[in-house]
Amino acid sequence: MTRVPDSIRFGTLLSGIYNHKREFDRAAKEVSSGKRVFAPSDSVNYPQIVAHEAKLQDISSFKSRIESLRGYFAFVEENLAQANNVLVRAKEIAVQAANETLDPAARERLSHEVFALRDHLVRLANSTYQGQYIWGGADSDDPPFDALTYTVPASGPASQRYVFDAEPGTNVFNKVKVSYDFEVTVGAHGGDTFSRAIGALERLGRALAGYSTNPPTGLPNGTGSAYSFPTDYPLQTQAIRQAIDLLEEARANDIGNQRTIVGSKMTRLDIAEKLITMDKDASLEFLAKERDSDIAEAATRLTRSDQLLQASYQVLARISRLSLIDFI
Amino acid sequence: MLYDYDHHQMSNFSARILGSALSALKAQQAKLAVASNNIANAQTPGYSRRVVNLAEKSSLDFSNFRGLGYGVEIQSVRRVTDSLLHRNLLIETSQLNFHSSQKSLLEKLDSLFGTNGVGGALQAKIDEFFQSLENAAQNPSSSAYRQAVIQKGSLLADTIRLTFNSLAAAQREANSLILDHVEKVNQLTSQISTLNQQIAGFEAQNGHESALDLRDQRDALLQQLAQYVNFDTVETSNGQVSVFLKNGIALVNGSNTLELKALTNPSFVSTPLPALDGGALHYVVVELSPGAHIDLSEVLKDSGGSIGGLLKFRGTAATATSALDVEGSVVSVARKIESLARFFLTTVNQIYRGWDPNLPNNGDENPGTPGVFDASSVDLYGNSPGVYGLFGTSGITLTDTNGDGLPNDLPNNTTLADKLKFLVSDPNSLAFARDLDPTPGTVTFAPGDGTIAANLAALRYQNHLFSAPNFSYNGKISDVVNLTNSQVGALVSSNSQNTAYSSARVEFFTQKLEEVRGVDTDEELAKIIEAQRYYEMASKLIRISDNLLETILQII
Repeated sequence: MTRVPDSIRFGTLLSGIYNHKREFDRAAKEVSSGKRVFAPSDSVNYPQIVAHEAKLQDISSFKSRIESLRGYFAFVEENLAQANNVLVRAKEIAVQAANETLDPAARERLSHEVFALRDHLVRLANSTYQGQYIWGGADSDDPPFDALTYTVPASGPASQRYVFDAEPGTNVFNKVKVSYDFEVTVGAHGGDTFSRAIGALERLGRALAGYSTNPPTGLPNGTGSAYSFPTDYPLQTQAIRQAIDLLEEARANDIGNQRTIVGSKMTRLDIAEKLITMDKDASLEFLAKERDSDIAEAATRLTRSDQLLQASYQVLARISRLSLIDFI
Repeated sequence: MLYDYDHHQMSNFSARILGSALSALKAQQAKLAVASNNIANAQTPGYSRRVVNLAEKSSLDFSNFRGLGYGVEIQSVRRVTDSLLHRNLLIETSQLNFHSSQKSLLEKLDSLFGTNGVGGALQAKIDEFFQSLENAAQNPSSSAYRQAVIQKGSLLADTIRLTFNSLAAAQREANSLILDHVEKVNQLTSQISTLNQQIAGFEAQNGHESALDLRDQRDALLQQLAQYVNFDTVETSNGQVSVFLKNGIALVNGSNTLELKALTNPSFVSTPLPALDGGALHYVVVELSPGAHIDLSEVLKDSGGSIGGLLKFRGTAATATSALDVEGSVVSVARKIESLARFFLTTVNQIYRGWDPNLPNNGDENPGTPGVFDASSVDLYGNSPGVYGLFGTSGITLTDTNGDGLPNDLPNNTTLADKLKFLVSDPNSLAFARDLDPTPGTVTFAPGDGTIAANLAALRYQNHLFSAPNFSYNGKISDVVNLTNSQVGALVSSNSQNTAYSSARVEFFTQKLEEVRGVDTDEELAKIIEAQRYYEMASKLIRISDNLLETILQII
């Protein structure tokens, strides 16, 4: 016959009550927080849970960077589109001016618009995004194109020239990580993008204004002389026609190439975003499976432990009343 | 003669009846007294129920009709217990306390590395720091991004420091508990030896009678002692109990005791055992002769009891030059945090200085001094950082002892995670650009150059060697954090399982022992009713005997 002393009877009941209370508290915590893993000991997958949570944080950071870069590249794209329009308009003027029915005075009138277009192009080349010169490479606090003058003429728009300032850092470009696998280079060499276009506009403007520009090919070196009309009228016409070719080359090769590069970077951003969205979905799925609580299941456990706790209280209260003493 | 004979028999029978009834009254009173005492002590911890052993009374009267008997006598009152079950309970109690003493400390680590703990935020803080560098690499001259790097770097250093300090605090708590438990062991062994003396004295004086209450008290004290240490007991013929540790050292030998001591400077060491908090840990020792100590730490750690559990958590070592040379659960976790701090002090500082394996001259772009790495990173003032430029330590100054210009000579006799700090406070002083002029002594840089920031940011995707005293791991920084989380999870889960298992074993043996020695009030009440009934019957017998005698008297 197994004896059941009072200490065992009450001890067992109390132990049961403690267990039900623990289960109740745990279930309540899971239901209220929506999670079932709170500490390393709660799951063997805790390190992976932490890693996936960190991944979501990374993804959020990548997304924010992608959005920021989209704004940046949209600005650069707009900048290049305007540069393209400037060159298209300049070419129209050049084609019109190349017509030998126009006398030097008429050509000179056209030069004003060309110089205005050149100044606009220089403004585009020296434009800033969030305070940084976008075409200066790492030398981002200094305008990439500096204003200089031609020897002839000594004053006026035809005397103005703009030269790329190849300071240290202008060929250094930062790479920005936009996903675990992709990074995007920010910035481009301003000289390679705008020097020929600005030079072509200067050559065209100076030719229309009645000045030659040295050397005959390549970037202007700041020297040149005044045409003597009518003798030099053919030379002027030739210079205007050469400028047409230079404008087209700058538009197609320099500006156009850069637009293509910017477009590809935008595409790269889209791909990166798709990849990190897939990563995000996978992480969320993992966390939902391994970290988040099944509310229905936790609520069931909550109800069950509540009922068991109440039952334990009732049994304890009833057993405490049961004694032989009442029957003596 | 026949008449005489019959008369003699009649008076003898009456006396027998009266004698037997009287002895029965005494026996039932004794049973009632014992049942009352059992009920009174039903809730007394360690109390073993008593039972009255009755035996048929014998006599030296060799007259006829011996078969009629002489009544009943109280042979003894004894404790009902089971020494084998009690021994098993002591062993299991030691094991349970070995695990449960670590439980709350390990749960603190679990919470520390949990979702709301400082250590749990480690991965997030590391990621945020590297993300801030990635952002700065995008726009290195932005003061907002630079400020963010300083903020995230400081937070990261704080998090590593706080995590390590929390581990150090847990180790210190374990050490303090050991001191407390050593004191309790000494109190208990002293009480046991006193009871030994009293039991031997009483039982020598009272021969057949045991010192039941004193034995109960001693069993209860032994059970309390088992909470702190694991031991063997031997009972001697005079009723005294000797208590031996697993290495044979007697804490209690009859009425003598050997005190445990917790010392930082016992005779067998020249330097104290270093703790994670920079203080000293205590050795648990005994002093066999004045000034000659014997270390019990290893013996206790490998046996049982709360002192063993706390030593296992806190760590022990014969000798150690660094707090990380000590072998214990918390130290093992701390080593990983230390390796993170050392990574930031060495690899991160090295990259911050401009070292780049892709550069010529073994990573040195500006080889001004042969054999010495010359910094090639530049801040917005045109200055280059020193050897330990981005992350440093407070309290001690890290120096380039070997003069090679690289932050690779950290001391191994001290912990650095508890001293880690982010050194840069001025955003413009962050050296994110590379010196573009390789000529020594000439600095040329572009403010928008984020090469160094990008190189730093890339570190988290690369494998590195993470090392600390007695720890080395090759992998990514997130792997070290994962390793730490896994280890804490495994420690807590394993402890939880062991505690539950031991708890079930203790519960089992407690229940079995209680089944034998515990008081069941219903049973005692039944015995009272039974004793009361027999008492009434014995009373009736006296009345009957009285009636018989009265009848005889009336005849006369």
